[in-house]
Amino acid sequence: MGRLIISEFKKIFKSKANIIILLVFFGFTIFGNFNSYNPIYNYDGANTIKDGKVLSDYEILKNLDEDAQKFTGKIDKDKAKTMRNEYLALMAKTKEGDSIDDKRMKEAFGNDYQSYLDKVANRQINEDEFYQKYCANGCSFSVEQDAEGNTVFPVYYKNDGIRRYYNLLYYDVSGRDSVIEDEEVYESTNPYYILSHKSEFLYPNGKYHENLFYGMDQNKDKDVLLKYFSDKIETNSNEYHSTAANNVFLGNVTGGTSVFILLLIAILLANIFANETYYKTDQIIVPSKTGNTKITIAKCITGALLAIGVILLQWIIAFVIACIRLPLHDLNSVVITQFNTYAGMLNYAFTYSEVFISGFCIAILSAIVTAAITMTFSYFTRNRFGTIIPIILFLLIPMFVPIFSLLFKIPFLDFMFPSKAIMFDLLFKSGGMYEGVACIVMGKDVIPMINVNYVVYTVITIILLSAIIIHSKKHKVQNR
Amino acid sequence: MDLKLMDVSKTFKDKKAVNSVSFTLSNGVHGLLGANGSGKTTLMRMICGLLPMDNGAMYFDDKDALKNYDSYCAYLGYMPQHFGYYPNYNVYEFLNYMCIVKGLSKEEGNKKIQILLKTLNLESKTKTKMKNLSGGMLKRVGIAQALLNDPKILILDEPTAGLDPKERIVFRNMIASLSQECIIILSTHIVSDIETIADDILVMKEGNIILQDSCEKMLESMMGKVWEVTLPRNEAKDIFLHYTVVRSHNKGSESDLRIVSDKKPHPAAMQVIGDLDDLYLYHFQEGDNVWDD
Repeated sequence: MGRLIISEFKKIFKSKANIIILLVFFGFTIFGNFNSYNPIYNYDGANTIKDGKVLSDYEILKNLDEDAQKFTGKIDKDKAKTMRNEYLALMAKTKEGDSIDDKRMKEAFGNDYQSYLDKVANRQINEDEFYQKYCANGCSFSVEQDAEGNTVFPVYYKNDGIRRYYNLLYYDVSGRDSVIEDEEVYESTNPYYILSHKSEFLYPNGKYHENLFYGMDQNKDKDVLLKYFSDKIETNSNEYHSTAANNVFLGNVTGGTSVFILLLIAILLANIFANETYYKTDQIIVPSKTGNTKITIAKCITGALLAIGVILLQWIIAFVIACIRLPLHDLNSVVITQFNTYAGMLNYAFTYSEVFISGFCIAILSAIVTAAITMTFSYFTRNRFGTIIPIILFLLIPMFVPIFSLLFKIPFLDFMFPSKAIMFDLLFKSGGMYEGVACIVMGKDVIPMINVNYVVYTVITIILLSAIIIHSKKHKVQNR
Repeated sequence: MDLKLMDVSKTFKDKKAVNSVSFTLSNGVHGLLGANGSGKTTLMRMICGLLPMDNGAMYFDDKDALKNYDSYCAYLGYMPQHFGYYPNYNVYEFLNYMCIVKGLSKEEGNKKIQILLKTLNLESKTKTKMKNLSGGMLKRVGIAQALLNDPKILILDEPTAGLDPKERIVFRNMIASLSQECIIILSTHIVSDIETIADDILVMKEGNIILQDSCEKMLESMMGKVWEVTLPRNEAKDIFLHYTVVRSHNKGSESDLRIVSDKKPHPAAMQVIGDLDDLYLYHFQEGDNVWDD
């Protein structure tokens, strides 16, 4: 069987087209991993000036990593309060004596931006006017609402960059959409503050909203779910190390190329069963001692191993590059994330090692299930394009249309698609784009959505590969 | 060792490709002759288990071959008419892959490949990619892959098409040397290949085996049915219109004719000993496209 599997790998990699696709993909991955940092570091074009020096994106990240190391260790309530005070002092200090960033204001609002500022100061402008006048042809800035619901129009200051830097530093390098200056908002959103205060901050705004559990039997499931989240927060280890490299690593394995890696697997495997039919070699390999069934099993194992290998390679590249760029300190740092809903938020605690282990498993299983689906198409169509086209649609459509969520109104159900599941960070780090929580309640147990994915993918893979293998026992070859 | 087919049939849509065929073959070379569409390839594929039979059974050494397909396959060597290969493999890689598929160990496989490459004069082409081989070379590789596992049943569909005369002789000698150890079923349009090495011949027509006998006995049946005559060309034209002419050769104003007919075609015609070409044309006369299968 071993020699058969090696032979199947040889067949795949004998194709120059496959080699080129593979090299291009991994070349792109290496280039991307080396050069792309989380775009949050670019803050509306503001320069980050620290100690009198303008920092590049990479330097920002390096400085953040070094500065964050001073928080290393257990973060208790006192330490969290000290951090809060430090942060608010830095915000106040950088605000004091700050001046308008003339260059950026001119770029955004034209040379006469002073008239815009006057209108803002005198509250003579509304949102519609703002967008009509300054964003008629599209723009990168937007109007926001403050905590009291007042409209806040953008004004650029010279210290925006360094304020953003401190925001990232005190917010686990994840940052917030807008720089937090308010003490109350800081306490309800800052991961370290939540980390140390545990279930006091189960609900950041002090209450939960019924819509939080949208799609669930609220009366029955609510208490079970709340207990689960509460336990998660309560039992967290308060452990902290700089997570800059962790975030780069996570970004690299879940970034733009993660969907394409599934496409790559599909392309490499599209011909796995079509090959023999196309070249008519089935006529000589089917009536052999090894036989059709063993060859089919070898192909199925090859497909699964290829899927695992490609994912493994992607993760190794991402890991090595993350380590080259920044030191990877510890994966036991606790991550606090918030499941945003339209009506409220729910805090959730886990460690980076949980994210990476779950993520690696889901990436591997997504790849294997994609390989199994591709091989099923390849087996039954015996045609490369007959395989590739439906697989491309299957992988790409859920990226643009949340089919299951629209059909069944159940949040996170679209994560059943491998192309969504492989971006697993959305299930942990930023549930904000979905309404609800990435869990389902079964009796008294709460099952994270990712576990449902494991089961579903494993079952689908077993069913599809079994169907192929059972069918292969017919060892029929078309008369041609 | 015997290969026994009993009432084997296969129908494609409305066409009966193989109709209740029964025969028993033992070690030796068995020539399979038939016109285009007579069911030869379908029959060979069914013997290989590539096509399911509609009816009938097949026994190898009194064991149901299809029920014991895995062990039966270990004894098979098959070279299809349109031999498929992986174009990016070189000759050695391809044969090595076939060794794996045929369950040969690495050592056995290497040894066997070297012997066959030498026998089939392919040694210089070991590293040539399959897609760069000529038609004749490909046929040789096809024959080599069929022989890798020392088959007990060797099925060769048009194996000599595309081979030059020297290669055909090498091939014939090789087949002859194997005939004592295995059952060889050989379909070819080059009658001389069968004539010299086949122990018996099966003639297929419209899905039926219409004749099965040794070459000598078949030719005996042609006694009194093969004639030769030399006639002026205008008279020769009449013969063409009314009889099956096997061969004609123009010599000046006259033509030498060889004719198959139950009755004497011309008073001047001389009775001669028939060969397989005569036998073939006798059975596949007008309307049967015999030679361009």
